Amino acid sequence: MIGDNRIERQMGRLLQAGVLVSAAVMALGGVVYLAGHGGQVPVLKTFHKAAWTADTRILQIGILLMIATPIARVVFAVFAFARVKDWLYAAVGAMVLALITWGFVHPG
Amino acid sequence: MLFSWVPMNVAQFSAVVFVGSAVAGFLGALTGLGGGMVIVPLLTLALGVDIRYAIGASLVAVIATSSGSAASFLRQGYANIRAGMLLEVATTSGALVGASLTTLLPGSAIALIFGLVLLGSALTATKKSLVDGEDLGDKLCESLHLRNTYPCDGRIVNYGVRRIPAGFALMAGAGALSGLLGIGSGAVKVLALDRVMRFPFKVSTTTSNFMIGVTAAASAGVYLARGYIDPGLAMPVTLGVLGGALAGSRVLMRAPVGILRNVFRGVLLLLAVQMIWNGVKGTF
Repeated sequence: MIGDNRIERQMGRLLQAGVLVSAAVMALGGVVYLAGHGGQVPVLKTFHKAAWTADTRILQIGILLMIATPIARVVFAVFAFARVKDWLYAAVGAMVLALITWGFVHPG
Repeated sequence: MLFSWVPMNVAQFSAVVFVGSAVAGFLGALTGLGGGMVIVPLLTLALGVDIRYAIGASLVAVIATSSGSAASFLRQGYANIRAGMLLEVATTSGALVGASLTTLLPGSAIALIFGLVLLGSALTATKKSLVDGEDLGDKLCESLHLRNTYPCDGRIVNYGVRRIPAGFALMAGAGALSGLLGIGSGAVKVLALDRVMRFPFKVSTTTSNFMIGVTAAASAGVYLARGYIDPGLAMPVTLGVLGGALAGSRVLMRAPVGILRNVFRGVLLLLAVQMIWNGVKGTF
């Protein structure tokens, strides 16, 4: 449909930027993490709720940015469809966003 | 338990995970079978990682590769973003159910389901559809504005879709598997788009990829709250798969993909049998 190509290109750029920034932050956080914990013994054999402690903060920000990237794409789509007055798909996007938000607010 | 008896510190372990994930991502992108499916067996069977940490790390990697590859093909105009977003209502709903189910099931049950899904996708993946002609779809397609075009051999092809309710239902199932197992479940998504809804093949694969990141993001809230995402493990898995997948899509044009695909499919089958066996034995 008319106008879709522009929305697609902008979405593509948004996703690309999101992945690059998130990966860079994760890599930086990884260096910090390995510098501090590289010599320890890995404890992943038995499940304990993974600890999100202060010493892996940069890494955590990178992971959260990575998770936020496709969510940002949905937010963008809601506005992009609203701008071209495609209310049906603006509503569809809003519904997807509501479902994702539900997962974060009521994590079952 | 290939390596679990070798004493490794965190740095060595991270290096092994990074390399393994990069190889998985590379072969997954090259063969179109998806690298994510190898990560969980690699971490659990070979490195002795608990399956809940494995699917948590895999989920983050799935989001990264989906977003990364979507960036390039969105510019080429293959994916149908309206259809993708409409079906994301189904996949995210399914993902929320699947992710909640994961927290109720024991590790061995997750391993068993994982093995069966792996077996299914290794056996059915990448069968190209027969109909690629111009079909303008049915009435519902018309009223949902899902008719679109895509570039093929230098010209613009018009297409429509059919059986949207059935595709929607199958997508909810794909979402549930994604949430349950921390995978993209691209094989089921392509099945729904290509076989059920009759999207052209190239549109099916790109639209499926477009939806994977959002579907996985819906499970992320549950995974984070339940402590499935270990930052130290998610880091080498995500960066490895992402790097490998990028490299794989670069060399895609020059590689003997046919042979590689069969080899990789063989590996997936072996891993599937291993996962099922361990699930039945209750090792996890």
